[in-house]
Amino acid sequence: MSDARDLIDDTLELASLPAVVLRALELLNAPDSSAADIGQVISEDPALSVRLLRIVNSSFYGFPSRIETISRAITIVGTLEITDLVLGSSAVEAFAGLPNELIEMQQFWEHSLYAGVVARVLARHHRAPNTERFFVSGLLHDIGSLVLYNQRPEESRRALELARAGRPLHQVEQEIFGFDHSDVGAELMQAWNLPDAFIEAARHHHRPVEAQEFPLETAMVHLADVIAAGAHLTGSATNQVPPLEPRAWELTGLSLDITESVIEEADRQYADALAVILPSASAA
Amino acid sequence: MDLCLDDMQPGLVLVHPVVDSKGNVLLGKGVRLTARHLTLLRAHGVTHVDAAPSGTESTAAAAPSAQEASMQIEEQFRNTNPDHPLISELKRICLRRRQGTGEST
Repeated sequence: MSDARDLIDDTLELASLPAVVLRALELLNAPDSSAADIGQVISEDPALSVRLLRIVNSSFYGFPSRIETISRAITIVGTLEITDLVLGSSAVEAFAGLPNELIEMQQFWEHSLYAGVVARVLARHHRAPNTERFFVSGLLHDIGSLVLYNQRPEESRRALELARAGRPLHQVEQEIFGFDHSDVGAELMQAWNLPDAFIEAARHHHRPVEAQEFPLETAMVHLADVIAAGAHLTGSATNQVPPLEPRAWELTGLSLDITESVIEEADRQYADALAVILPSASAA
Repeated sequence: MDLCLDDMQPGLVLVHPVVDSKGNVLLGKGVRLTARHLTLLRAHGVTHVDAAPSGTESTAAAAPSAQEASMQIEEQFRNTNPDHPLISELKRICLRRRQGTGEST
């Protein structure tokens, strides 16, 4: 049986991150680079700059005054946060080139986006630093599914049918492939050199207790996936709520009382995020 | 009455819940619409809503019955741990939202 990594090489030709994003990531990891260097790299890509300014000026952020330049965005929003947003929105864009015949791309991203927003709201309740990291982790947690649908359509079709008949998708995938969408997503992110927090959250989002380095990020993404699958219907036949790992909930230390306000807040942020992250969705 | 969003002013009250194409209740029945609601509805691609001036709400309901909604939710949550308090709480919230009786947003 091949492993998850074998699927990635072919995928990289179809869905790759733009050079500017890779360069920004490199700079972020380089100890001697400054925020200005990262701003400079992003500014050289006009399409990316426009997209980023649209995001930070949207009601999703709600800054009182208009942010006109990338360097200003970095000053106000933060270098890490901006780089994460660049990553998230570029990954969504990259997958436009990875079509599949099994599910609606729109439904896929709606669940992912809602999960990202829930992760961000949960992280704020937890007073975690850099809540954008949680948002982008949630946004990208299922990205491996798109690789599976594209590279292994027949087996994926069977997996989806079994899931519709009432079993958790990741368990069915394990039986069919010997790995599941979380392994594939993590391998892709590794090939893309994404930060380790994203890789670990994607790899363990169905088994959050296995996370070693980023247990909180992973637990939040796990919970966000569960809450999003319950609270936000996408019309997809796999709108099944995955099994909850009770220890993930304990780890966050959050109180049950906040559940309803988390969902209400997520509904509000989702509408705003939809317009800037998935503009094709809200133009309907 | 069925009204086009573009012709609407804030202050009208929803006669029916506003539901998107997948069955998510965006706004519950009885919600008094604000300018922000109208913006959010447009962002969701909603073009028409059933709304009326306050005090003239009809009694008809388009949301699923309590029993239908409850069955739908049991189906959707069948792979999760039914005894966990977070799951019970989620189910309770989803049931209320699905029926469109919540004061959402």
